[in-house]
Amino acid sequence: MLKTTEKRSSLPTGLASLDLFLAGGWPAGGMTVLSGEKGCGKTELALRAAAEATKADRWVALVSAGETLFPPSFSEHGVDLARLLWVRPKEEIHARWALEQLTRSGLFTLVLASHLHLGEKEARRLQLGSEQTGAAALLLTEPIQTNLWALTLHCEVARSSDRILVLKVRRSRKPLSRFQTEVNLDEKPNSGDLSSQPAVRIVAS
Amino acid sequence: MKNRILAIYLPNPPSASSLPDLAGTLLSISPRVGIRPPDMVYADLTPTLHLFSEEEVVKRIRRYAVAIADDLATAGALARLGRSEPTVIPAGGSEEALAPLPIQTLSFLADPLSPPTPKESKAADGLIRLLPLLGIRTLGNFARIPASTIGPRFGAFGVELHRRARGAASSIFRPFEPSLTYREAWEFDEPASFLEPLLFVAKNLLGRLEAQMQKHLQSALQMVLYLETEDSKETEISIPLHRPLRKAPALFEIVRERLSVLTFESPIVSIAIEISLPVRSLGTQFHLFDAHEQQNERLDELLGRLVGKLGPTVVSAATLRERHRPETAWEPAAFEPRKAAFSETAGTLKRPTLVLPSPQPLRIENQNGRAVLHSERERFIVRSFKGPERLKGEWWNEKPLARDYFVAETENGRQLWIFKSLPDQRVFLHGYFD
Repeated sequence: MLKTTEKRSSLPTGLASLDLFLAGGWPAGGMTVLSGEKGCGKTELALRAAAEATKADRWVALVSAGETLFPPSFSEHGVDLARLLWVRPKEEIHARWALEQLTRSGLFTLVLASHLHLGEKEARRLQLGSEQTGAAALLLTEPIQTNLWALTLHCEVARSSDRILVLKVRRSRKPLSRFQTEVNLDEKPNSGDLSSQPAVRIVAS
Repeated sequence: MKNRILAIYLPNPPSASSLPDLAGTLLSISPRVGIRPPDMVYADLTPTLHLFSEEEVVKRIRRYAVAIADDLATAGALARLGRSEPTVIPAGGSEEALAPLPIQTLSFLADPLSPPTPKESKAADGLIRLLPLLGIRTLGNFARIPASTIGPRFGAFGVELHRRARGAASSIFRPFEPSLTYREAWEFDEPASFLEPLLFVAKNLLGRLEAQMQKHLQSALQMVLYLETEDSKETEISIPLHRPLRKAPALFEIVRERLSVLTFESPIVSIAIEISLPVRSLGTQFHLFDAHEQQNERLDELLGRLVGKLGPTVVSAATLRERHRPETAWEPAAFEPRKAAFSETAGTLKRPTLVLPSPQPLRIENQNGRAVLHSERERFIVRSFKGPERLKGEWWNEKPLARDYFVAETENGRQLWIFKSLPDQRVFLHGYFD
């Protein structure tokens, strides 16, 4: 059996200083949770990474249930809509199922999930799925109290001004030099990071 | 150029679908295939002779009684003799090939395309009894009788048989059209109470369906599962597919997803799978090491599973539309990343990432010089407003669009997309810059 996969340790966030803070970008082959109140800017942050991925001809998947995401804003953040698969079932149980399928498929460099509630068991399955395929799974949620131990990274997002976000790291498997940073959304991405890597690699499994 | 007709004789076909199945197989070597129930299948080899030689064709179907000749009647009659070796009559040799056959084989020439009517059978039987009495014992003897004398003696049907005995029969037939649906069913000896036997049988049925579709170069755009329980309740599950699929493993994954979430009050006694919407598709020849093609194939499988379970309307890409009303400024589109050129990123206007399904009315209060917005559930203390951005249009509608949009930043750093409706000055929350 042949398996198509991309192996990298991190996925560029689309913001140079954030890449530096996270030692490369959002963890690839792992699950990251960005939590914060509605309107805090976490989706904008995720869309910056999606824009970077689609610019490098990578595919991005987005799963949402109930929340009405607005594609014109994706485009505004630089996401190539033709390379973004959007799955939006009405029921959350179906959204969780779709999220796992997409993460385990190995076809998507970045899998975003908007406002889904995951339990510890589901988080562990997703973490395993992304570890196997190398996909970066980014979960956008409202503030969560519980600790999901399977996570690779958990950041709380808040807005300090119109274009400045504050990221607080609640949990990270990777050692980081600091646990809080400010991100300017007008910042430019690192140049030529993702597109210089091979699009797909075939490994026997 | 003369026609070349292949006839295959299947005495006692094992099932009613044997002839259509064989006809379907023959479609891979000829576009014109015909069926003569209950035991004969024809194929016109003329259009594909440059691709497949007659020797090649007969080699492929050796296990049947086969004949190739210039016309339907000769090929059919020779195949019906049931010889173990294929009979290939060279072009122009039909009359010569039929000549030594006994006059009793005249009935084989009766009607190459449909079983003879009782009247025709009676006429043929009458001739077969009469001709030997006149010393005409072979088809060759019959063919040598002057054509002008046949009509007055043996009638119109006799004239036609005489023409066929001379190898001058027509080669025109109504082509076989593959059935529009494919169906495979299974009845359990022991009713199935668990998922595993159901999946095992489904996998088998899908394998057979794939083979049938392959024969007719068709793929599925929709499947229907029929399940019958021990208490005679029937369940029908329609599964639309996002694009034509033929391969059994891909179809099985979709079926497995659907079956695994079903619960039944009593065991299943039968299952049937129908390809209710087959479409013509040639399928893809994959290069062994082309990663992109494999990726596309896997994407097809994944989309098939997602669409099969969630429906076609919730799995898509999005495309932007020029509309005055912001909530209608996009529509779903097929996810075809390999075909897509890079789309232009557009829009200098700031748009929120989350938009509410319908705008929520807000009540505004002034508290010590600060605006406080009250929605049904929440209260927002606003630090600053940016705007307005006036959106106006659709004047032809009963309720034309006239809104002033603002970005409201709250004290705790949240950004809201709100608008003031110009006709009545009411304020609504429309989305979040999440």
